[in-house]
Amino acid sequence: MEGWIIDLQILNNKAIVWFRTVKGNVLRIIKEYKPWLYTPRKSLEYSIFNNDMIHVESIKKKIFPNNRGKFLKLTFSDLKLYKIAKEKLKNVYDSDLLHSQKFLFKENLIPLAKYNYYKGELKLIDHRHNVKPPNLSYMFLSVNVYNGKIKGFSYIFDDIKDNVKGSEEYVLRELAYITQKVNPDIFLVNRNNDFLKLLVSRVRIYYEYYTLGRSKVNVRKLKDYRRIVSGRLVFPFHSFMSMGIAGLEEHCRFSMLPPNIAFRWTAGRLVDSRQCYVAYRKGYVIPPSENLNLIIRTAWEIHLYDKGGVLQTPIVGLHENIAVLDFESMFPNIIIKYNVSYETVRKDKVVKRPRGLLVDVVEPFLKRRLYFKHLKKNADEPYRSWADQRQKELKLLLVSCYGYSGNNFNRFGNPLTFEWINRISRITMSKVYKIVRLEGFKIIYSDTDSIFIKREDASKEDFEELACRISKATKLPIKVDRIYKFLVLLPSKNNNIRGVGKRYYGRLLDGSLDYKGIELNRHDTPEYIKETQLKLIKTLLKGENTEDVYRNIDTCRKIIKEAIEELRTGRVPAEKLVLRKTLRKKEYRVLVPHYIAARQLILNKYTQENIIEFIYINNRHKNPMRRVQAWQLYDGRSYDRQKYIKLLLYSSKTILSFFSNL
Amino acid sequence: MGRITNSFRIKLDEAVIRIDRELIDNLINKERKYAFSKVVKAWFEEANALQSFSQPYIYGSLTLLSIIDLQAKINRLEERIKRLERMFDGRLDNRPTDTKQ
Repeated sequence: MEGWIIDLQILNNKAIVWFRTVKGNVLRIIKEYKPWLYTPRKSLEYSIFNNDMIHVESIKKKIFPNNRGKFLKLTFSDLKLYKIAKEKLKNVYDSDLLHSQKFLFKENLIPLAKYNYYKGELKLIDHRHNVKPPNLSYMFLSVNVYNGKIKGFSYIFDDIKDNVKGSEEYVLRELAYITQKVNPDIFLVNRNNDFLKLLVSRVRIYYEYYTLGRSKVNVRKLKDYRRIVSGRLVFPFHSFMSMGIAGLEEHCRFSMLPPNIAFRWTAGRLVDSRQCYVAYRKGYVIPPSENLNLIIRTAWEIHLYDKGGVLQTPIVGLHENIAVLDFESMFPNIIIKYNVSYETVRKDKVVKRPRGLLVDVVEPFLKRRLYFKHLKKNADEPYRSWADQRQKELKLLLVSCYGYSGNNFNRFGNPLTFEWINRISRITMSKVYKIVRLEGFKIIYSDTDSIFIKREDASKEDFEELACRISKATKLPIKVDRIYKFLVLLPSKNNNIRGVGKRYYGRLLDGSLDYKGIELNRHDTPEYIKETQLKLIKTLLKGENTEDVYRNIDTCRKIIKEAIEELRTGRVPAEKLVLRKTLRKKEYRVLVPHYIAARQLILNKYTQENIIEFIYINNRHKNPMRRVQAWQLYDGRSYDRQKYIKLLLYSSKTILSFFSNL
Repeated sequence: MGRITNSFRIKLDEAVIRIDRELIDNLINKERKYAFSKVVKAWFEEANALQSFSQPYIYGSLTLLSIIDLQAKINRLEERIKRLERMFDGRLDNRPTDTKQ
């Protein structure tokens, strides 16, 4: 039977693996699990411990980075004993891994990868570069909570749509009933991670036994509230959709964690999990999760070496014929090529042997990412989206490998590692600068692993040839990422003579527009303002040369005037003026507009969501509660025209401030 | 999280704010105040070079860069003066080239 591991539950001395078959059945596979610890042999006589409940074995293990030692391996047949031993023994290894990590590491099982289950054995049949994710079933669940009580819910499952209202007891009973009926693998809910906690606290009032997951649980005795849905997965809708099941699969493959944890954990913790897995497979004992990361050095040495990547301040203004050369995954490539890892870096050099732990962590996933990145360009939908989700998540994880390398919570960490990565990147970039200047190009901006260059007469082939030359000289892959016909590098918002990184807009050779760090990229800019800003860029960058661009300024001014007139006379439909902001805290000290809108929704018995939509009604009103109106409550009254004109002028200024005064 | 030293950009920003507040705000001469904005522009443009310079005292690096920037400006002005002088001479002297001494 083919399928995927979708959930894992550890009970006393067994692991329950929830296996979802390709045909849609769910198997509950029970496997033996016995937790273990290592303690140095010197610290303990094994006769003290050896009994029926604890199996003791004397064993030689590797200690990270370069040592070996004699250990006692204590294997427990009971989780409670394991917990007691962990607390009592001072010097222990492999102790702060989760039980699910230990089980999956030992069995070498990858959640969400494809397995064949036959005669009690799980055999990996997964094609390494299969882009199609597991075809799990989803149930979209919008829960209505008011005053901490669950008042109702609406759901979508395939073609079925319905909503349930009534007493809380009835709503909860219906939720369990419908779930059993449609049997989804994943709940996508409109709430944060605290949803299950709330659900358990409410269910406990009415029921002793409750079945929302794939097994009945006694909710009143439930210690881990997530177990209420064992066998199913629950994710917040908004954060899950960008990652998708394909992205989640990459998290699981990388971290060797069950999906519900792989989704929740930060990138740093996922990197830690991967490192532990690699170290476990290489025969190391796993050290405790924190280390001091102290390398004794003089302040002068720290000053010399503790530096970030190279950033050349952008030359503010309009530029013509610009190419962006971008190193492909520069930091992961540096790690692999130079064998940069915790155990290979010294103050003055990076040694070639032994092969670093970090290299083993990074290399397979870098290959995987590049495969999906290139596949994305040639594949059709939905394969393109899947490949994109995969490569995006892998990019984040790979960058985190670098970022996490000097972190205090990195159990293998060593600050020299990330210093060396930065140092090599700086040396590489200075080589690049020399080559670029020798070939007669001008650098107008560069940021860590990409470089913006121009030369009036340069063709696409010239840029590509240059990239080739750089690649040969640095032995790192670099490519022409994009070529702009025109590019405007913008100054800082606070200081108009100073250029800042990642803030520009331009027209590419194929006529499409590219922009970064401006209002168009922001989620909280109203649609109308975005449309106008886009129109301004399109108009401004029309033409064949820079003189044409300067000539377009008058047309842009006209566009702004027309837009102001439309706003002033109230001709812009209110739908286009809605702002969307994420509510990041429960309480705000200052009554910011989106918090006011959220309060209005609660007062009107609406379910509070994370993304708040609102419209400015009267931004100068004395009563802050009347300055904005939540979009769900909007009654069609006139909006604050002055405020929107101000927003429009602000966004137009971003585009035109370099060229002229508005 | 393990990193001991601040980013150079932060150090530069802090230095500029400090010079602005404690020195430039107290200057009497307005021209000098205005000149500061141009000096700062050169610092930001060359931030990358300043960052890679191992001199630990940032104000020393900034002063050194400003001296270099001033010399570059002087060179530019000298070139311009020479060009203007040549143009000026040429305009007064309209004799044919072969009759010139």
